Amino acid sequence: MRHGSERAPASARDGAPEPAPGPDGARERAAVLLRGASKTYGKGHAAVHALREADLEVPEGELVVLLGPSGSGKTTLLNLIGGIEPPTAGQVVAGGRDISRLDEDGRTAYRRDTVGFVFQFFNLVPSLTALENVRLVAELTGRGDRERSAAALAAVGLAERGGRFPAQLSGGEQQRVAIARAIAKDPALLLCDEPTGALDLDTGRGVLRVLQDLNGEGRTVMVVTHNAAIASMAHRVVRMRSGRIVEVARNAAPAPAEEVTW
Amino acid sequence: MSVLTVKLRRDLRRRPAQLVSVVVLVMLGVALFGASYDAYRNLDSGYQRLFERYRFADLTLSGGDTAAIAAAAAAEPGVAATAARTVADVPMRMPDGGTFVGRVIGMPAGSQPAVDKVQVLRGRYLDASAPAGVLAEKHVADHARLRPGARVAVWHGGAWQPLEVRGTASSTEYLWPAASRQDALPAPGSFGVLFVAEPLAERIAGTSAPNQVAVYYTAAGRRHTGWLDAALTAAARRHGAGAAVTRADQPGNATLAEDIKGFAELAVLFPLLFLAAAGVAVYVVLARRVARDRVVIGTLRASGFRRRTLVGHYLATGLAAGLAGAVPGAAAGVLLAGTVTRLYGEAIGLPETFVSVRAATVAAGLGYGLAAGALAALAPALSAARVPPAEAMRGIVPSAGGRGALARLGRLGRIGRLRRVGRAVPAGAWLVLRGPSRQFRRTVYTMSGVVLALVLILVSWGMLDSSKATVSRQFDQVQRQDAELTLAGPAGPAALAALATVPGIRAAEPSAQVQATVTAGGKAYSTALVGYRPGTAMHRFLTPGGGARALPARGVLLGRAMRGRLGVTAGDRVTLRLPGGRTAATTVAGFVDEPLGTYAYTSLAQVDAWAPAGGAQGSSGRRDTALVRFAPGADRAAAEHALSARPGVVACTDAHALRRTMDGYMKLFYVFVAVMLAFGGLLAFTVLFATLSVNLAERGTELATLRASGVGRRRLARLVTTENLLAVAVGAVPGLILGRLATGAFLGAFNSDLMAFHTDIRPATLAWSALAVLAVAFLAQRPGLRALARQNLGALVRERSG
Repeated sequence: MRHGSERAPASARDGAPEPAPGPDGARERAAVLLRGASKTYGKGHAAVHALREADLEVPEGELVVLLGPSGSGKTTLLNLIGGIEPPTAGQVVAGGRDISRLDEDGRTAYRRDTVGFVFQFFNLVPSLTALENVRLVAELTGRGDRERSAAALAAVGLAERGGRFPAQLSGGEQQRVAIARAIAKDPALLLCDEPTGALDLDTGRGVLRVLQDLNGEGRTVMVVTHNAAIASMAHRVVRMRSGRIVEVARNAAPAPAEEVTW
Repeated sequence: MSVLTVKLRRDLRRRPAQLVSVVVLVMLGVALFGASYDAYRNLDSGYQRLFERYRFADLTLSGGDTAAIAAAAAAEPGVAATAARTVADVPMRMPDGGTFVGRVIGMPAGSQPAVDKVQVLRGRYLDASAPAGVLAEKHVADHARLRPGARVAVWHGGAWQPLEVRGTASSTEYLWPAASRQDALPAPGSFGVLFVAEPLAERIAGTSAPNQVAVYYTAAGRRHTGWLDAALTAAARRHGAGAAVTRADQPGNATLAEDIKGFAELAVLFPLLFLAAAGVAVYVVLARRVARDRVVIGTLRASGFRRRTLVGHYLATGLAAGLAGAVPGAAAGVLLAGTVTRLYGEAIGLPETFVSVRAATVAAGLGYGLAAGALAALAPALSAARVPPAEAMRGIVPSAGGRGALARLGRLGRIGRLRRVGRAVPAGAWLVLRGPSRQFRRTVYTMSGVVLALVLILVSWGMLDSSKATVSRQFDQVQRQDAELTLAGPAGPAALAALATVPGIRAAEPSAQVQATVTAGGKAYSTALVGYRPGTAMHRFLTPGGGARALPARGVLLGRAMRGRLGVTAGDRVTLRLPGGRTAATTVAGFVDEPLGTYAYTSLAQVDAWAPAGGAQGSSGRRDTALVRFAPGADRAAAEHALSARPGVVACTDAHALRRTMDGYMKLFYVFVAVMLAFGGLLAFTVLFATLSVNLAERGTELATLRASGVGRRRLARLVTTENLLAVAVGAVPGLILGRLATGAFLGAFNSDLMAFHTDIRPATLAWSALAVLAVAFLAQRPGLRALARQNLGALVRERSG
């Protein structure tokens, strides 16, 4: 698995703004930087302002939790950071690259090379085994996909379950396969949309443990959730309401995943 | 192998019945294309080889100074050979006593002619040492059981002249024994050809020189057939020739060409229907798969998969299904083509058939199969590529529509009475009624399957109905006589009265026919001019408008095909070229619409004026006949025997013999229709199976919820069945309309001056066809309903999470 320390230093490329100084005055390397990012769906009277002028800086290697009720704009924010959609206005910089300027092909390449996604409903291909589901995405990044896929499954504790089909796995196992799929291509940024939303407490904790371990390896992890309890394990908690970031709080002592409860 | 390919293979195997249904449709389409098209090509090329080997005439010029015509033709570049001969239509008597008007054709004794050679099948060729020896053409030889040594007779000089059969022969001119373009379907035993030495032919015809020139072109000349035909015809006309018949118009060749054209038509129809059906099935199955995979596709897009990769993935599904059906289909097509060619050759009595495997046909079949799969998969594949990656953020949502068109229409129910009616409709009925409108696109595909199946069924069944109606029109409405007597001379009132006294005979009328070429504005059409007495009871003159009219006192009634061929309308003047170099100018009194042949009709008095009676022989071209009707319940065989024995009667032809022959052909047609019904049923089953099973699969959650709410399996099955059959019944309406139109188009391809079909499909046929498709639909949904009965909510939830 890759480590954050191996990643090239971020610099102000593609016209991206310089990161803001950190609390200690040093300039931290920003994994994600948003400046006035907005997203509006529809036009005129039917316009829905899903995200309004969001400013956010996520340093590399942090575990960030985005909290908020349904419709607060957290998934939209994740979509913009993941290059799934472009912002209507403002700037989104990831890994020092302004992705708000990319076209569809550029965003596809960005997602392929930089981002790993984990979704609430796992979204596994039912006709492929666990290992094949991981390989399917790993193949995108070239040779060694088989070894990397096996290693990714091992990293989420499913080395022995690679030959099982999704329907033969529990919900937690399916979500861990989804995480393995996300990390098999060694992304710098792991974006998780309600990764425990469809899981019970114990299974959810297991998944959070895996995410915390991946973050411990130096990878930036952003988790969208409406479950406030998960905030306790984050380095940084972003609270959202009605499409706006209403609070960004640092957590000096993130709790281990095993202590999270809801 | 990439994991995406693994997914493709597993997806294909996931619902094997749907895949098999698509593969079967593609296979049938490709196989039937290959069989029909190659059978057509085999037969066509077989004919061409025979034509070349036996030097089948490219142009036949009748009448005039044949020596000068032959010399002029031989001098024309592009002409390989000419042959002058004598041809005469005369009464003939077979060893069993049967009589008919047959054809005598002169040939060089001792050597084959330069044009229109024959293949001696049995016995020996003509020899100058046996001047009364004849070669019997295969069809008459088979029917009359003529063997070398058998004795036949021809009517010559007012008496029967005995002739000895030296052998039997096949002729390219009579591969199909059509007497003329007006009599392209002679009943067996009603026509026959005898090849005789040229001097004997001239004696029988009462001429001193050949009356026909057959011209054979070089390969280079055949490349400019139209020009050469026109040039030689013009030259021949300058030497007094009457009729000029091209190879394409030669009656036997034209009839066979029309017949095998059916194979070419089927080669278009079959792939069109089956591959369209396969396309519908591929589209439905794949569109459902894309709808089901939306979240996975969104995930793949979010993970960095390119659009074209996803397009290729789903396109490959269609291509795989197309290929899986096209390969066995192409192989089956090759095998079937050989079998069909041989069976057809045996049925027609072709001396030999040629079967070859054409790489181009195989490639085209494979191409059609692949194209059907690919084209049908293209839209779902493109729709997959359009799935936004944000779709991955959503859970699985039902792709079925909302309230549906019916519900939107239901807003009208807010108004007074409609509102009360709407409230009175039970919820189950609303479910049934709204289902098809909610899944409108799916309903359209279901309906298109119904339409395709009904088109296939009706084209075959409708052709059977129309053919039977055509036979009925000819023999019940147009042609009213029971027998036609060829007379040694014109029948006077006394002779007719005597004929009417024969036991079993109710009425007798005089008639006469003469070969004539109708010309107008430089265009010409060779036909038979038939004369009836005014107010004839033996023939009804049906008009193109659907009515009937009387025979005009002056002018001629022309078969409707002549309207287009000559470019004339009622009231126009036309010229008749008659045997012996006579011509007559007359007026087109109107047109008649008759199923068999394109004749010219006039009064007997006009025929007498234009072609005075000269006896029943070929030189004058006039044949005097008496048309008789039998009394109800008469013994037809006894009556015909008695009539044949009457003085002056030289041949008796049962006018209903052709009807019996055609009724016999209808039995073959029943087999064809049964096969088409089976194919149509299979087509309907596979398309409906695909659409209905997808429909049920898509609504699995909804139906499982109803079951969980306490709706019994049987009630649910009834509701779903009613909903499905409602969609099928609605689809049957355009299916029946399009089926009828397709039948008309298909029959129209066979319409010519030889035969004219009207689309005439019985209401019962329409009803049974619709019921058959409904029955097939009922069966096609059974597997889906069984799956519905087996499903449980727990499994459904688990599947959703996967």
